[in-house]
Amino acid sequence: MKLLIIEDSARLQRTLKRGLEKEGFAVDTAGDGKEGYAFAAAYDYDVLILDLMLPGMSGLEVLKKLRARGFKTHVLILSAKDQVQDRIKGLEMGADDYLIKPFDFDELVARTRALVRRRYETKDPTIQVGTLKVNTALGKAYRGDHEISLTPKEFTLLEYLLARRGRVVTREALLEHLYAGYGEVAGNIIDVVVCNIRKKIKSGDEPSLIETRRGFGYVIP
Amino acid sequence: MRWFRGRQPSIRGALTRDLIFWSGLNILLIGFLLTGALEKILLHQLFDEELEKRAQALVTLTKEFDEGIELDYAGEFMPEFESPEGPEYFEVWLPNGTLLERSESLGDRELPVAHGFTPEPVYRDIHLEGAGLCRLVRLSFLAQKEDADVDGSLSAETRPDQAVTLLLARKRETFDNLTTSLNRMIWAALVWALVICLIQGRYTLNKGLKPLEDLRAQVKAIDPKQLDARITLEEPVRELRAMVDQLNTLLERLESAVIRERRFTSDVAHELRTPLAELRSLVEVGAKDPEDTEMVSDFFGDVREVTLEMQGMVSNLLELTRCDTGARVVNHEPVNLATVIGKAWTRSAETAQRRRIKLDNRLAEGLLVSSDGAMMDQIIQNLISNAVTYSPRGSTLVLESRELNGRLALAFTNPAPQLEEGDLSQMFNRFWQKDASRTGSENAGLGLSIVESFAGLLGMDIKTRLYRGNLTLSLIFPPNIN
Repeated sequence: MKLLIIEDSARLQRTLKRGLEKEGFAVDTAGDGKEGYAFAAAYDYDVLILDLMLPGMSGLEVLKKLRARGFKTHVLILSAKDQVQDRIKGLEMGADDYLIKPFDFDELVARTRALVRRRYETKDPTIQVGTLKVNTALGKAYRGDHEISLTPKEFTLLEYLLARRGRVVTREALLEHLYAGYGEVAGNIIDVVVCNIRKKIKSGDEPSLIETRRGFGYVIP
Repeated sequence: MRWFRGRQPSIRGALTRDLIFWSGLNILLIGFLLTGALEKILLHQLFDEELEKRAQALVTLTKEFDEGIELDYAGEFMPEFESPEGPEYFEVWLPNGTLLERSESLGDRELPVAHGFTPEPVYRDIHLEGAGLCRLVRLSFLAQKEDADVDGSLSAETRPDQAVTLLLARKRETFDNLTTSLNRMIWAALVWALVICLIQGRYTLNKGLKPLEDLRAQVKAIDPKQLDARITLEEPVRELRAMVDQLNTLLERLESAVIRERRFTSDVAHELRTPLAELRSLVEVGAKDPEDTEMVSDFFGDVREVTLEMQGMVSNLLELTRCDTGARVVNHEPVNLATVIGKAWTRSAETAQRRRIKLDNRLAEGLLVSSDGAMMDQIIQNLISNAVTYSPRGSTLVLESRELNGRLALAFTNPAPQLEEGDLSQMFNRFWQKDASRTGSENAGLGLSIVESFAGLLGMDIKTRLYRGNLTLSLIFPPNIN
């Protein structure tokens, strides 16, 4: 799942990026409104985490412009403004959620995951394929009652494919989703991650959950 | 009575009471004066004069013949003396005290007064049986001698045994009826005047008190939560203008104080929320993966930075509170401005170097002022730090001393293209930052507030000027500080 954090506090931006990446999100950051708007308009993010008081262009202006241009990206406002009117104004302008600083990091993660689920129209955080269960809210995968240990990237890729179940996802899309902003990464990195996931979730003689469509990408049927 | 006492005094009530009291009192006085004057005029000037003329008529009829004194009186010509009902009665007494003549109207009755000699006519009221209250005149005179030219008037030489005394009484009934009617009319007119006076007074009171009522209603309608209300009288009056102006000024000050307080609280909350969010995120994210030593180590550095910034903000707030409450003690001592500026520049040198800011110090060496050293340190430090942080990269901060109206002024000039004229009046407000997003958490917007507070305590004035994108901030020292 790919996020964009638009936050002018460099320290908070850094901390959230590292924390959310550890939770399996691919995270881009922007330090001012104009840069944030450019990023949000140029790439397909699952969720935007948006501060309101930003230099260059305020968070509300960013939101207004995005909605005016038809972008439906889910937006979570993260602001020190704690008045009810501020929250109402943010939500009325098209935000999907509002979190007041200081906040609980786990709550931020949970709300972000909830917004991701809303994007893929799944209210139940648990996705089950055969005996494999993936809880997107908790960021955990199970085979029966046994928890499978997945790295954040592995979980993100698995969650991404499950969210698009039945559709073939190209390697480029997966690369963009998992490693955008990471600079140069190995060309076969996606294949390596998929291979690792297959090994970890394999159960007996069952066919592999993730199928390869040569020349196209991967799909969970 | 308790109910009355429990009520608060009111201007309308007091004026109404006074109006009723004084109008009533005046009406009573006028009434008594009028009726008294009326009786006096009618009785003494008209009734008594008439009575005396009547008496003179009888005097002229009293004549002295050789045979003695006679009253040449014919009842048919004076019917007033004929009937027992009067209305007039007389007795004529000879000098030897014998009765010469009594009117038919008296019958067997006697006038109940002494009939002795009197040098001047004497008037009095008497009660005559069957006739009621009568007015009587007693006068003594010399009886006219037949064919002599004597008018009957007494002279100084007249002896009592020569004078005839006439007692003439007239019933007062008609006169009293007339005066009673007149008195009633007067009192009725006065009561009417009182009623009109009260109605008019009430109307005048209402009209006069209308601006006051208007003011009261407007003051009462002010909602303590909506302090933007101002008082505007429908009919402005000179007497209330000062009060209305003062009230509006107070409301304005109250509103701006409340706005400032709200903004201050909101700014404090915001300034604390952001670093708290940073701290909490650092701690919670770090705690999720303590094995990631590189990350945790970075986070420790960030935690230290955040706490130092928060510590600085809290210190500045405490400093401002001490200034506000008068707890900040000023210790005057000789302060070398060059030394203070040197120290402040050294502390900002790293930022200045990074941003390529230069200092053009045109201050004379050894310039000493009498001031509080620590406060001057802080003032100069804040001003230099602001200039170094917010001037465009590569610009120059110019420091120079001037003389303004015999006072030493220390002027800091640096390019400030981001500032507008309107910012000059706000830049000393607590937490004010040109960038509304408050990005750049190193400064919370308290530096200039501290400069202003300290300058106030040290008796200094601050002048700001924006000219062609350059901000000049002058610290004007109090007179005779050298």
